[in-house]
Amino acid sequence: MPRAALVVAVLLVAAMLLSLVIGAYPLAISKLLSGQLNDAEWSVLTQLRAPRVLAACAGGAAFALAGAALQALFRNPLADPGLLGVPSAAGLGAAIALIVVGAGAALWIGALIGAGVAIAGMLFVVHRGSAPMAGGTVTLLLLGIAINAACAAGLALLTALASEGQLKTLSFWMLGSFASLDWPMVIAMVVCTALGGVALVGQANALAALALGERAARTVGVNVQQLRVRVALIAAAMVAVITAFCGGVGFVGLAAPHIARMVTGSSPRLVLPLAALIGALLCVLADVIARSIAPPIELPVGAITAVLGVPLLVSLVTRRVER
Amino acid sequence: MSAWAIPLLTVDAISVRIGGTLLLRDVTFALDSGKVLALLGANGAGKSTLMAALAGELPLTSGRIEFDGLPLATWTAAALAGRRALNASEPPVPFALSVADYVALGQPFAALDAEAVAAALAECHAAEWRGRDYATLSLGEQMRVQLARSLYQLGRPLSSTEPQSPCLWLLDEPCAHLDMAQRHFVLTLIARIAREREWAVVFSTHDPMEAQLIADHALLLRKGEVLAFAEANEALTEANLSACYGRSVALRPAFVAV
Repeated sequence: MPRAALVVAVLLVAAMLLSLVIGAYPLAISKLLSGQLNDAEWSVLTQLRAPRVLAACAGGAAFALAGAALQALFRNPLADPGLLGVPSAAGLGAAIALIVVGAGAALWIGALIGAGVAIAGMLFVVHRGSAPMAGGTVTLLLLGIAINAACAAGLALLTALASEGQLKTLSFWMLGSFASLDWPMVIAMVVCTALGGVALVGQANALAALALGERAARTVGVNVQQLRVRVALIAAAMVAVITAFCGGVGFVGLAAPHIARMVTGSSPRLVLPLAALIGALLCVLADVIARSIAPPIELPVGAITAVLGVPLLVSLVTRRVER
Repeated sequence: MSAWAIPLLTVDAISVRIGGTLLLRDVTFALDSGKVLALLGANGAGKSTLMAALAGELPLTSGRIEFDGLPLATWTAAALAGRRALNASEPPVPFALSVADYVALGQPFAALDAEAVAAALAECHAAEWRGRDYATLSLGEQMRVQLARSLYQLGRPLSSTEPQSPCLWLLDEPCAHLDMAQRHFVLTLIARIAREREWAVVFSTHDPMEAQLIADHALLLRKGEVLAFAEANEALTEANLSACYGRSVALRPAFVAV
């Protein structure tokens, strides 16, 4: 594991450097490393490139951490942050804000409110302890499906109402982008991801025991109910913050933990940190690809991750069926 | 020592009601450490409910369960995990997990004691599978690895010289999927552990023969109530078993593994 983590970390640093110099306004890597940038180049670096590289790192790590934790929590290798319905709820919130209030900060606030409502609904069901199914994994999964379906329906209705311009903003935002973020947003994303990552790693032993099944996990001393609430809350909050600022970046939450497990085995203690590094790497690379295929046009990064992720998902599903 | 005077497990007039259905009514028994109790009853008689209540998983509607002199409800999850193990039917493991790693999850919050894991696997004659993916084992083999997990859960470092507090080992139909040889192995393992380590063992079964083979006591349930609780040879009579299963049962010679 340490060697694998080191390799991924080196690749990540290389990808970040690459991402800093590539773009519509290329910077020479020798100048960057020796610090000999002129004012225009310096401003491109600090105002455009650096925030977006850090945002890609934070976003990728957050989706990967949330995915790894949720896969362990739901005992399902196909679980994804999108499963909880948080990104779609954030998308719906943003869409409502865009159409009712207009573009700008309202978009992000709307996304946060939407995600918050989804989390609150989830916790409400988890906490209603009396019914036999309450708080069960199946309940959470069904609730995630319901939230996703409701948000898809809401979005479909709203897109019908949206103007041409709003539609463009909305669709681009929905597919995800790490561009045009201010430093305060980037710092918020990095802080949330770091805090959430530490909190999830703190639950790693309990998540590991969940592989035995919920009942056996309880037998060996895991408070399954509490674990479920904690992990769902942490993961959903991380996904909400990232989605609010960057839109839905799909498949990273699914792919990164899988790659991590292939490298290091299934123990969450090792999978969580490694998946975070891999997720960051995937997003930084996807972001580089998104803006170097047809410059100066930037392709939506969520579409790039999906194009990379779908073959992986298909191979995983078919291999699982064969076994 | 006065601790020997009170039974390790005391079940005092417990009832369990879930949703309007009374699943257990007025169940009373006690079990000393080092003893094996067999739990018998027709489908739906309440064996699994009683097992869950003994494991501390179900709130009691009335009555009380005491474990080592303290009400079960006052035990913390962590303290209970060190003294009580449960083996019931378990879902498949969702990720690739080596047998050794699986057993180590018996103590998820403790530092790994590889020696103790190996010893628990050896006890269950499962040492040769330690590097295998758990999911590739047959059901019977998985059962033995699950037993090893419980032994590791309740076990202590091999170097420890302090006497171990007696533990409670609950097994819900441990022989459900096992062939004759595996079944014999598991039953004798359970009985040996109970005697050697002074653990109290409760196992449920659909086969009175299993109770005859290793149980010190037998408890027969019918519709959530105790039909009989006594030493195994006293409780396991044709009359009791006939009443338990609602049809006449006779004692005949049968094939058994020896």
